[in-house]
Amino acid sequence: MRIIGTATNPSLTGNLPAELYEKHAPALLSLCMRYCGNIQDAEDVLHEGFIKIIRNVGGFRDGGKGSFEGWMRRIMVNTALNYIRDHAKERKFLDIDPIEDRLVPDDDSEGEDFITGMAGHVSPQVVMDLICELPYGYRSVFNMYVFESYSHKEIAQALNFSENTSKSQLSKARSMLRKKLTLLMMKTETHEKA
Amino acid sequence: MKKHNQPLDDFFRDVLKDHTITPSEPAREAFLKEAAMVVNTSKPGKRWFLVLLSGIILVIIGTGIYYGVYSSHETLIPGVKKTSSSVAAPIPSAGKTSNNKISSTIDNEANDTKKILNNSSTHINQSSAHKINQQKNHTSTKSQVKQKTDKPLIAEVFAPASTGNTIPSAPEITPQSVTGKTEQPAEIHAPASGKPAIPDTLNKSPLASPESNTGVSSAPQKKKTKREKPVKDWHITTGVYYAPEWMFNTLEGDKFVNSFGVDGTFHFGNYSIRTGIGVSITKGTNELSVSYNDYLGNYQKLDSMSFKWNSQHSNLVPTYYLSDKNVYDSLMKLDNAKIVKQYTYLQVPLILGYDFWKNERLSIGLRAGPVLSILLQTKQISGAYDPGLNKIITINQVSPERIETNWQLMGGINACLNISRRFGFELEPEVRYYFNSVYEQSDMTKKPWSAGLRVAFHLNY
Repeated sequence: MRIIGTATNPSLTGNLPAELYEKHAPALLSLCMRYCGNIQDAEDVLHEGFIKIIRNVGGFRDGGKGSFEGWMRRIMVNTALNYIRDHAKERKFLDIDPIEDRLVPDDDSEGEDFITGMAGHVSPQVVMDLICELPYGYRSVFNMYVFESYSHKEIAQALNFSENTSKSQLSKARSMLRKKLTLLMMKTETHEKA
Repeated sequence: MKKHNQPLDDFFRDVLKDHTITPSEPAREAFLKEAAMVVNTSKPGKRWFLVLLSGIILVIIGTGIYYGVYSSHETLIPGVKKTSSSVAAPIPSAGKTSNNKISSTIDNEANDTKKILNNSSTHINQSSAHKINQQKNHTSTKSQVKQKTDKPLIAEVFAPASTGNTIPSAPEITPQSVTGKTEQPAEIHAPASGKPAIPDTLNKSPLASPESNTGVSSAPQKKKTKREKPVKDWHITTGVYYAPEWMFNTLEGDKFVNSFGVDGTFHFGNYSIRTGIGVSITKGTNELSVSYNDYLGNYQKLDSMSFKWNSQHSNLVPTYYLSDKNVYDSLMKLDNAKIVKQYTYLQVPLILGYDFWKNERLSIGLRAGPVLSILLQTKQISGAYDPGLNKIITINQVSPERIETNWQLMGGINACLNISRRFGFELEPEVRYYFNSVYEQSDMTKKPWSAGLRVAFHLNY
């Protein structure tokens, strides 16, 4: 991303970047990880996003912890999306569904019971790995919709495709995650029985 | 539109709600290193501006305190100033002692004053003889002038003795040589005649009271009264001003604002009302969100082709009709661009003032009041966004537009130096608080404030 005219904040004290980083970097790195899929890219995005934050923090004086964190999250999400686009030229951003995936019926209500039951048995790291295994397009739409509460219209505008594509990608992401969770549950049960 | 509540979504949200990943140490160090560079590139101008502003405020306050203290000292011994200030000034203790005596009973005043006179004379003879010698010529001249006015010197020089203020000049001038009279000042006789001379001298003008008490001719007093111009209770000044200010708490960070204009001030006593018209010019950056497709290259598209029979070689000669076509990436990319605009505001202040200290040349006071700002013109001074060969899809303005009208509350300390009877110079460090944001979407920032320095030249009428 190119920024014309650096909006350096003169009031920024020397300690503020370190304080912001110490306080918010772990949560924001988790966000970046969800979008990027690997820790190296996630740290690159975190770095780039934090530089943008400290350059523009002077412009944000709205106060309120939540809104400031939301502002930082938006910057991170945008940075991550741009990063993925820049580094995904060799890949197709909108993933072509494998044939076997097309055969799976897209029923969002399927398996609600077992998912609810798994809540206490799956570690966050395992869940994070499941998301990271999603193709780029699915992952972006799923993250934006589920975690950032974007609407399909907003996702479509941000990723430059139609709303229907966004809905389709989300549905397929859910379906893929559901299957992975089912496999995970089966492995866990087998392990417990053994 | 409300989203469907999906158990799968809730599951992922719940599990990853508090999930954190600690960044690696190299990543942290790399960030802190780059962040330090970003911080160190902060604008140095603001620091200098604030230092300059602080310095000027300190100078004004210091000057005010200095002149205030000095002035109050002079006010304490007014008679000295009028008669022989150079002699009397170094002996504040004498005056103080006398003032203490004044507060005692009238019956004791004559004796007390005599003692003070003697003590003061001794003190002067011992410690201030050289000063008096230096001033002799000046004092002699004054004495001559006073002789010309047929006023007994002893009466004038010793007149405020009842207040103890003119004690120093009396013995050294040796009034006997001038008037042939005894050294006894008129005031010393006054209590004997039962007149409360001392309270009179305190209440009345320092020059007038002794004369009235002693019954000395009022001719010099009249002369002095003639010299005094009738003091106008009010006057008007008009002038031009320039006020650089640094505005804080805006969406674009801190920014520099230049203001200039003309104003007029109506002074009445220590109070004043100032109004005028001015122009305030500032620059602002507007952020644009640009979505575009990358330019990948171009090719020559075959529009049509025709064939012509070549009879010599017995073949068909093709003719190709081509056109250049650019190829763009299908992925949409986002770019943040910033363009610089110049905003010109019309400013109309209505400033109320109170001078808490003033003398003939210098006055220091407080100024406060509202300022109305109206946006006159917006001009883009940076070039338009240059996409290069990329294909622009949309350009959205992220930064909100400037508000058309806003109100500010200004407060400051005004120091006015009258260079001559006609011309004056003003320095006014000031702080402004903006009642409403300078942006259309006021919820995006807190209300701005600014610190500035107003410099003005004015004409007195």
